[in-house]
Formats: sequence, C-alpha cells, structure tokens
Amino acid sequence: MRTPTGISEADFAAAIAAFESVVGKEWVFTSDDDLEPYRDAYSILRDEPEERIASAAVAPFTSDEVQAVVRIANEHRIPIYPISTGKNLGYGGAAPVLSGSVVLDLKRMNRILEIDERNSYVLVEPGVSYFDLYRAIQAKGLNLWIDCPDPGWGSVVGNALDYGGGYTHSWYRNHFEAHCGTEVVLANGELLRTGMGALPGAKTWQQNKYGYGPFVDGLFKQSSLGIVTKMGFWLYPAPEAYISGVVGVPKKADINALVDVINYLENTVSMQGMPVFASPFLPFGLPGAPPPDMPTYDSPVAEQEAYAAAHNLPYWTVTVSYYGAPEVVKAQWDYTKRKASAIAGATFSGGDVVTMPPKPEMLKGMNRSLFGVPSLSIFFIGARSEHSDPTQGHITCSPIIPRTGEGISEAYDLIFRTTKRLELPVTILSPPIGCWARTFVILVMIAVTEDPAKNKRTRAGFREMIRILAEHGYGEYRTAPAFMDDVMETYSFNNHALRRFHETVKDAVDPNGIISAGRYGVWPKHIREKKA
Amino acid sequence: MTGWDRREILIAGGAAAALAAAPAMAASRAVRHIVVADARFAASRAFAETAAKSGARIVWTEGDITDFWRDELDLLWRHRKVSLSGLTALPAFFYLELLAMDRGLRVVFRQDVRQVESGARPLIAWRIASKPVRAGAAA
Repeated sequence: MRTPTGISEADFAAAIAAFESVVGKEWVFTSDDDLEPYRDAYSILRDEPEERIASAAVAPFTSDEVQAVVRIANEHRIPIYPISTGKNLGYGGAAPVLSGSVVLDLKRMNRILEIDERNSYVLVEPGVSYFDLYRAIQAKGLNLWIDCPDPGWGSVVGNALDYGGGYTHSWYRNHFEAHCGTEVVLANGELLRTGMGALPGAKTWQQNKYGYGPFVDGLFKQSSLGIVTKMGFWLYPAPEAYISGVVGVPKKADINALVDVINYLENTVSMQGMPVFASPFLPFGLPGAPPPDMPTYDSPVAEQEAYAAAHNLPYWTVTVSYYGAPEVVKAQWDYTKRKASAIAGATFSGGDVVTMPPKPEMLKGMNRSLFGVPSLSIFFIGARSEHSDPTQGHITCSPIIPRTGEGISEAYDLIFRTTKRLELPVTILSPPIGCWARTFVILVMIAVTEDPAKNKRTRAGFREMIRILAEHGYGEYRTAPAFMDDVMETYSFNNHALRRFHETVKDAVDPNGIISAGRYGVWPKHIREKKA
Repeated sequence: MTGWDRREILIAGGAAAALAAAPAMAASRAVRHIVVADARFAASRAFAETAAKSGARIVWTEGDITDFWRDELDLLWRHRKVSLSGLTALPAFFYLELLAMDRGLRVVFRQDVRQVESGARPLIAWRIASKPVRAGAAA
C-alpha cells in the first residue's frame, strides 16, 4: 500500500479503516487498479517518479460523511485532495497536487437539490455534471438554459471553482461569477454556509450572493481552504431567439478599432454572446493545413493583406452572437453593423434570426455549448484527436491578456517568438477567447508525449514561458499541477504579499495542512518549512 | 421513422429525448453488451454488421458519442455495468475509457487496426467490461 509522505503504514491503515467505517468499505480505494482513475490522463509527469499519484481515494455520499472524513484526516494528519468529477484534463484531472494524498472523490454527491424556474437558479452538489443538470432541466420541461464549458462532462461546481468559462450570455459565461451561495466543509470538519445561507432558514440563499459582512466565497475558488459540498448557480432563462453574424475587417491594424467596437457593445449589453475573433494569419491554428501560397504569421503585413484582398478574405473576423427576443436581437445586430461600419472596408455576413430552442439538425456540426447543450465533440481537436499526431495529452499555458487590439498583437507576437525559441511543441494556439468580461485569455496547448526526455524539455520550456509572459505583464489564470508553484511565483508584487496572505489564511483555517496541499501554489506550513 | 426507433428518438435531443428516456431505459435493461460503430469507416461498418448478425445491439456514431453518452450510457451505467466493444477512431475510445473508469469498468482489450486507405489513421478495436475483482467508483 502506498502511504502519504511522513505517515507510517500503521497510522495510514488506521485512517483507512476509519474512512471505511464512515463511507463503507466499498467506497475506499487503495489498490493500484482502483486508483487508476485518479491518475492524470494528460500528465506531463506520467510514469516518471514525480508523477502525482494518490495513496487512496474515498468517495463520501453526504456532507456529513465529508465532515467525518475530514475529522479523521485531521486526527491522523492525512493529506486529502477533494475532486468533484476530476475531468479537468490539461489542468490535473483527478490527480492530487501532492503525491500520496488521499483523493476525496465527490462524484457520488450528485444530487440536484433545487431548481427554481421563476428565479432561474439551481442548487447542486459537486458530483453533478453538466450532462446531469441539462437532462434534469429537459426532463422537467423547464424554460432554462445552462451555460457549459466544452467538453461538458465535468462538474458544475468543480468547473466554477476552477474558474471555468462557457459560451452563452455574458452574465452566465463566467461560471464562478454566476454562482450564488456555497456550503463548505472546513478543515476542522465544521460546516459553513456563505452569503444568505448563513441565516438559518434563509429564503434567498441562491438569490443574494453577499448576505452580511465580508464576502468570503472567493476564498474557495482555486482553493485549499475548504471542501465545497453545495453551490448555487444562476441559470439563464431560455431566450426566444438567437442570431450569429460575422464582421470582417481588411487590415491587420483594424483589430484595434474592431475590439473597441465589440467591447462597447458587450459592456453596454448590446451584444450578449461570446465574441470569437479569428484571422487566417494567426499562428498554430486549428487542425488543417493552410494553402501553401498563403503568407504565414511572420510574413510581412503587406503580403498578408494583399493575399487577403486577392482571396476576398477579411484579415480579421469576429463572430458575434445575440440571445433574446427576435425583434431585439435583430435590432442589436443592426446596431452592431452600424457601429462597425465606422471601420473602412468592414463586411458583414450572417445575421439570420433563429428561433429557439435549436432544432436537432441545427445542432449537428455546431458548437452545442452556444445553446447550453453539453457535448463531448471538443475531443475532435487537440490531444488524442483524429487530427493530431499521437500525443499523450497537452498542458495549457493560459495567459490573460488585455481586451484591446494592441493587446492581441503584442501577446501573439510574444507567444509566437517565445514558443519558437523554446522549441515548445505547440499543438493549438487559440484565438483570443472572450469568455469573461474585460479580458481575453489565450490557450497555448503544448503536446505531452510518451517520451519522458521530450516531456522534460517541454517542462523546462514551459516554465521559461511562464516567466517570460509574466515579465511582460501576462499572468496565467490556471495551470497543470506540475507548474502551479511556477505560476504562483510570478504573482510576486510586494515580495509575494498575495502568497504570504494565502499562507497566513491557510495556516489559520487548516493548521494541519490537510486539504489540497500545494493547490495553486499554496502550501501548508509544515511543508513550507521542509522546502525552506 | 417507423414505430419508435429508439436511436432516432434518443438523438432527437431536448424534450423529446427526455420523454423518450424512460421507455428507452426500460428497454435497455435487457441489454448486456453494446457495440459502438463509426459509420464513417468501412472497417467499422463491417465490424458492426458482423456483430449485428450475432444479435448485438449496435450504436452508430460518426465519431462523436455525445448523444449516446447523454441519452443512454450515462444513465445505463449507473444501474448496470453493461460491457461495450467497438472499432472506432481514437477520440471515442479515449473518452469512453475515462468515463468507464469512473463507473468501475476497464478497458480489457485494445488493439490498433490499420486502415486500408492510404494515410488514414489506425482505428482502435476495444472492449470495455467490468473489472475482474470488484466494482469501484461512483455511480
């Protein structure tokens, strides 16, 4: 039996027996075969000594059981690592950050506790997947949409806590911001409810986020301070219609004005859907070879623009989308055209009003997440797809960049130069993604192979890239466990004041350091002292 | 659609799928094994046609198993560990393998199958079944 570092076999066996007494023997896993699901399928450390491997897994069924497990872990000083469904491939999956941790698998806690159609909210446990929630809403015939990431196989709670994003209306795409009220098991086993939930018998737990006093929900985002066992979310009342249109502009420099127009539309809620910017000249695009005579990203701009003009291609496009009443979304598309017409040579296509709900034939070949329908089709690109060279998986460098055209140009130039110089095996470089308000995120997906020597070089290059991006003012919003310390190291203002604050809070609420040690670069005191 | 073709109802999505779910589940209680085929590939079509002759239930996909997972398998595996086999491209195999592990099933056979077409990527022949020792993981 594998044991956590510093824990004797006898103590670990005693803890395992205690876990079994709480959740039942069949829900405690210790054999290598049983622990296989808790390995990271995309790990860049796979089969190396540093791979993050669990010593056991425990799957409680209720909050009470979670509390009991936490108390046992405290008594025996067992590191535990809660997961919701562990499907966040590329960012660690179900594997713990600290090898030897006991994974606290919350998949059995998959109850949808309340769906309120009139006030458009839901209260769920962490094991509820987007598929579960979608099915429940459909089965009840409720006039509600979910906002789901792609793929949609993961946990609603887990995705929000990891700062995931979706595709529909801007009020719902930021999944953490769309939450309202949490229930958390703290490291001492105590149960905490946030916001209005702190009021016994509260009638507005899922309607008012803030309750009374300091707002603490953010402490549990990307956190090691507690185990979220319930979480409320605001849902999107199903819109009547949808429009998608494409705005094109002819010159590279037009991106500056184009982003400004889109920002104005979005920040005035004149456009609700996620804007998707694209250019045929961006490097490392989606699968498919470009025409051989097409200038590349680093070709002279004049050549690129001439090619675009000769082939009747816009240099940049932005796909915009609108959700709402048919007459309203039509007016909003018209308004978009009026605003973007200020850019010389702007072109417009699409704009047909589509009545919701989408017909099944319409969903074929489309990104279903645009309509709050979870899907697995994203697996057709990236690692282990039909289009990539055989790769084990990918790690993703995810810098947040400014929502300006200048920001896009500077960031892509830097990423292009850096990945080339470091010889990083980029599989996909996303367009600037606007799933959250006010910023873009770029996803730089880098191949993980079955060759440890290649992976070692990739890790070194990836670390260097994190450092270089930070030097230029770009911070990452999440990363794989192998790099969590590296990213936290870059958030260093005032001698790492933020990390020191995290550590102070961690030591206060989890003095034995049992929950999610090392997650997002925050380590408990006893491990920090060993590292020092 | 003649009578009610379960597969066609299930892929209809939305409310229709939800309404169809109950009879579909009742019907699927008898299913012990499902064959997943990818209609895009001749080898997979031949594989499925052979399996169908021996009475196996075939789920046809075009690579994406979303509808199969959402409307049938996710629910089915909560109650019974129905085994699967298939001859598919890598993505379908990959995410079925991960989803199966969550439900206490494992890949018990896997073999790459070279396609005749020049330049085509190999397909994967696979079988997913209950773990030999004990069921584990969440329902």
